[in-house]
Order: sequence, then structure tokens, then C-alpha cells
Amino acid sequence: MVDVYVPETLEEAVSFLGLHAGAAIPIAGGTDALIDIRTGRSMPEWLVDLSSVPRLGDVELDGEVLRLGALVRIRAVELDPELGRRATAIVEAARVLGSVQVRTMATVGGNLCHATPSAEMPPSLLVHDAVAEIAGVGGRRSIPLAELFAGPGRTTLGPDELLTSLLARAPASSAGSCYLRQTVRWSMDLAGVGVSASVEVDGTVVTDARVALAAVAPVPLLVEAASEAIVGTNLPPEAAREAGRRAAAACSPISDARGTAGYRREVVSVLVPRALRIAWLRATGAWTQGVPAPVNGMSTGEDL
Amino acid sequence: MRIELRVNGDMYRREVEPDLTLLSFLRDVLGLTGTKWGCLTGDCGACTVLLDGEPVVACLQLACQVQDREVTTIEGLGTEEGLDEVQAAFVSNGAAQCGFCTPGMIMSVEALLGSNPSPSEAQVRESLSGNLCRCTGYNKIVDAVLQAAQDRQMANDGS
Amino acid sequence: MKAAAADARRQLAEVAARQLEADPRDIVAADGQLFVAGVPDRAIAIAEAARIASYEKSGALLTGQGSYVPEGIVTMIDPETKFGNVSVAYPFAAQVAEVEVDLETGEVTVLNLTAVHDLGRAINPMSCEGQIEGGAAMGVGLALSEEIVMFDGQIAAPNFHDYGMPTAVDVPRIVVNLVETIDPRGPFGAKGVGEAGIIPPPAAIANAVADATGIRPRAYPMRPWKVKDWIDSAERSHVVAGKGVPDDG
Repeated sequence: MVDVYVPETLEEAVSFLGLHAGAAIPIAGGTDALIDIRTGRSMPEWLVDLSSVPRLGDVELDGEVLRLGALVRIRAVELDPELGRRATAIVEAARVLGSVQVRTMATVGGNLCHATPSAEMPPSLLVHDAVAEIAGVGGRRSIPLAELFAGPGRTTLGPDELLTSLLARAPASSAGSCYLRQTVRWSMDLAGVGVSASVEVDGTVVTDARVALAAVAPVPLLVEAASEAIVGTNLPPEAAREAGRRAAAACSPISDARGTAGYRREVVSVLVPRALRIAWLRATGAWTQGVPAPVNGMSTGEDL
Repeated sequence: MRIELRVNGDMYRREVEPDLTLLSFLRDVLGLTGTKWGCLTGDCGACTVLLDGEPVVACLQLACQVQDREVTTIEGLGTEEGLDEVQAAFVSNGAAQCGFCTPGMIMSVEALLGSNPSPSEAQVRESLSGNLCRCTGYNKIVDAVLQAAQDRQMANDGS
Repeated sequence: MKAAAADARRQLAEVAARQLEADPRDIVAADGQLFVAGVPDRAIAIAEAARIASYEKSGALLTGQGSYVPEGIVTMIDPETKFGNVSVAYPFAAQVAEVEVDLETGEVTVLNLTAVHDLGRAINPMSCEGQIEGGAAMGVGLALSEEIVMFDGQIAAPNFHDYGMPTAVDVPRIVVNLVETIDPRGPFGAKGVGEAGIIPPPAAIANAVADATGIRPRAYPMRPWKVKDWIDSAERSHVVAGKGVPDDG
């Protein structure tokens, strides 16, 4: 029998979590937490319902800096037109997560803190240089998002700590990003491979880039070697393919119900060039604004 | 825990266990069994209800988190004598076969048409992809939704 | 089923005849009423007749029974060989699938599906279409995604999302054509329609994949890593895409 505690402030929330370390877990949308409890994966005595803590659900855009509260609903991200323009990969990840119902309930923070290796939001937030803002009994701290993940289902958060928000870069121009994934079904599926890419350009020359992967390692991966292969180029196909090869070399997939290890590695080498190409087209203004990428990047009407 | 919420327009105050789901609250406490008990993992959509007009799966929603909010279930739409446009279109298009997915399906449609009164076929399919149907192959459901959208617009234009 | 329905109707007519003081052979049914032929005023509701029939049997349901053994058939299946004639009115069907295959990821999209079904007589055409569409959608699942994956004798993913049942975006628009051949041995000329829709899609989709890629699928479901593996193996053995499909499908 689980009891529910509803803190009114962040301080109340973290001190309760600290007091009941190991026995209390935070609950936001509940779409992962309740399944974990039902299947016996987690057996908390307390659920700490964060819905009454102020400001955790805010979305703010200040210049290039996007702040997403941990309790922002995935559906709200999906439907935000300004984010669609400036943080396209994040919106594209939100768009394919679960179903409309699940997106209406699930939160950005929940998707990150559940630390599922195939989770949609981490790679897109990684390519937008996300920083995780964390609050605990001892105060606040910020870490690069990549450092939040410790392994499948595990984060580096202390028992008294909460992810409160994410700071991400969302440039207004000369930048583009994209999220692609491979699945068995076209909806209601978990990624066999998830790939995010972001590109910044001067004219058509790539000045900066990021590539991040999901579902091909115990934690979401930011692959610096992949982006280095395209910086300074006009993204010719060979450079994009090289980035794909480097990303494939960097991952360590497993075989499970959603694909074999060898296949996943191959798909990484396919989706990385496609994601980079779409991000580059967006950055250079050649991609019609508002048009989402096909979920696996195929059929874009041009040879990728 | 004591909760207070509105279901289909009526106010309810009840004492509930903290881990009671909205699905159990609707079916077992209020006796509203139109909302179906399906997979309990958010995969099938049979328990879809509207929470302040937005679709949620009631199996993954704690009742205590619905404090002061408005829930709409299939019982809150038409009556047997006066079906609403979506229900009527489901009947006339043969969109229900065994009927188990139908209440959840219709609630997803109500949510879609609430925010997008004239959706494309692709948008209809996308909006219904969280509601599994093993009988119909979805075609007649999609047809019903497109017709309901038209019917509702004509009704609104006429009034 | 037709014979059982006729048996139930006969029993209802007997109840109505007693209530209306008429001969059961003169009882006709229309608009939810049982009445004496030519005298629509002497009527009783079917529901009322059923209630009376149930009361007369101490609350037991009124049930009709019927069986049908086609002419010339003694046992439908030979107990020794297991071969035989399992139906008196075989439905026939042809389905056409159009697919798109991502040659690099192995993902298959069914773009269009046309289902032409000989079902004897379509007693309720809308229901017949629904049965065929639903069956075809199941067939799409069997072809591409549905699978219970086992690891070491355990079901690896006992849930709906890994099982892979098609959603509304996985099933294409299905065009259904009903071919009414009015089979003299079927009830009212009808044949079966419930299962026939499921059977053709895997073969049609696999043939479409073969046509698109030049490889011959060898297993269902054609999940992306299998398709990718077949494509890679074919490339290794120098089969050129679009040419030289092994002709055994």
C-alpha cells in the first residue's frame, strides 16, 4: 500500500525525500511510476506528488536560453510553435513519445529521471546543450545533462534531490536540429534506435554540431567524434557518412525484443547522416519551416 | 484521502485510498463502467477519459491527483436516445464491432475534435494511435471521425 | 445457424399461436411483432413471446438448435489421413499490397491494401467490410510486427508495446470489394467472411517486399532487423535489387 504526500514547496519536497530516503519516490505524470509499482520494479512506501510545487511546469525562453520546468508536459512541448522552430529536435522527440494520452500526462523531467535507455527526450536535449538544474536538501546545483544518467533506470541524483528544470540552447537562426528513430510500429513504440542531431552554420558551412543517441548504450550518448567529422564542411554525403560510422563505433547496443546489437549499430550509421542532413537543411533555411521530418528520415524527397 | 472533483458535470466528494487509480474510482466507486479496464500500462487506450478536456489514460492517473478537476467519461456524452455526433457516426459507419475499444476511442475523438474541428485523415489516425482496436482495422473508425467532424461543423454553422 | 434460428422461430410461433388462438403455421413475423397472417391486429411482440416461452420453461432460455451435414458427406475429415472437406462453401479472396521499404533500416510501410473477397452473399455488407478490414489489419500485424519474443523459455516482453499490434497509423486505407457469388449450399447463399481477411496480407506484403527489394522474405513477422539482414545477405551474394527474385512465392 503506497501513501501519497503532496508538498506545497520545493523545500518540503526535498526534505521529505531526504527523510524517507529509499522509501519515497517523486511522481509527476505517473505514466512510468505507476507501471513500475504495478510490475514490482519499484516498491516505494511514499509517492511524492510534485503537482503542487510552484513553477516546475513553466516554459521560458530568454534570448537563446530555453528553460523547461521538470513538470512540463510532453504534449505542451509538442504543441509549442516557437519551440518547434528553435528546438525542433526536442519537439520531434515529444511528438513521437507514446500516445496523445501518455504525452498529455507524462513530463519532461519524468522521461529523463526514469532513465530508460530508449527514452525519447534525452538525445534531443543533449544536442541542445541541456544543463540539468537540481535541488536538494543541501541546496542547488547544475550539471550537464549527460551527467544525470548513471545506467538503465538509474540517475546520479541523490535520494533527497529533484530535477527541477533544464536549460537548453535554442538559437533563433542559422541553426537546426532533428530527431529520428527506428521502431517496429510507426506509433506507440519505443525506439530501437533514437538519433538527434543539431547543426549551426555560417552560410552553408557547419560551424558547430552535436550528435546524440538513444537505445544503443546503457545511457544516452553524446558522440563528440561524430560531430567533429562535419565541422568546417558543407556536409557532403561522405562527411555525414563518416559521422555515422563514428557514432556507430561509439555505441554499445544490446540484443533484445526491439532489435539485435548488430542491427542497431548499423541503423545508427544510417540515421546519423539523415538526421545531420535534415538539421543542416533546417539551419541553412532550405527546409520548409514547420514541416516535421519523417520519423525515420526516409522519403524526404531528396537523396540523403 | 479526501477528494473533490467533477465528473460529467456532477460534483463528487469521496474518501479514497491514496493509490486508487482514476479508473478504479470511476468504475468501482462511481459505477461508471463505460470506461474500460484494459491493459493497465497505458498501451491500449480503452480507459481514455478527458481531464479538463484533454485525453488521459485513467489507469495511470491517481484519483487523488484529480483534485478539483473536471473529468468527462463516455457516460457524459450523448444518451441512448440522443447520441452525440461522434457516437452517431460510429453507429452509422459500423465503427464498433466488439465495442470494447469504443468508449476510449470516442473520448480520444472528442479530444481531437475539441482542438481541431476539421482534421485530416492523417491527423485522425495519429490522434487515435493510442487506442488499439483488434476488430475493425481502424478504417471505419477513421471514416466515422471524418463524418462526425463534418456533421458537427454543419450543426454549428446551422445554429 | 440458419437451422437453429428456424428452430427458435418455430418455438416462438407456437407460443404466439397459443396466445393468439391460431395455428402456428399461420404466424408471421414483421417489425418486432408476431401476428396471424392477414390479421395484423392479432399480434404479440416477439420479446413478449420470448418472455412467455421462458416462463413456461421455468426461466430457461428459449434456444433453437440446428445442424447441417452437406449432402454426400459422412465425416468431414478422414480420421486416418486428416484430409477432407472441412467446408461446404469455400470463400475465395485476393489481396494486393503496396509497400515502401527503407533499404537501409529494413522498415516496411504498407501504403495500400486492396481486398477482394468472394463471400457468397453479403447479408450485411457493412459488417462484411468491417470483418475483412479487421482481418486484413490483423494480417498486416502478422506480416510485419506482431510477435511474442521468447528468451530462454520466458516471454521477454509481456506487454502491448513490444508485442507490436498495429495502430491506426500502421494500417493503411483498405479498399474492400465484395464479390457476391450466391453459393447454393450456404445459408441465403452466404459463405464465411470472418477469417478470410487475415490470411492473404502476410503473403501479399511479403511478395510486395520481394518485388521492392529483390529479396525473398523467409519469416514472419518481417521486423526491420530481419528485412535488413536479408537485404545485406543478398547484397553479399550479389543479387541486384529489383532483379532475380527467386520464383517460389
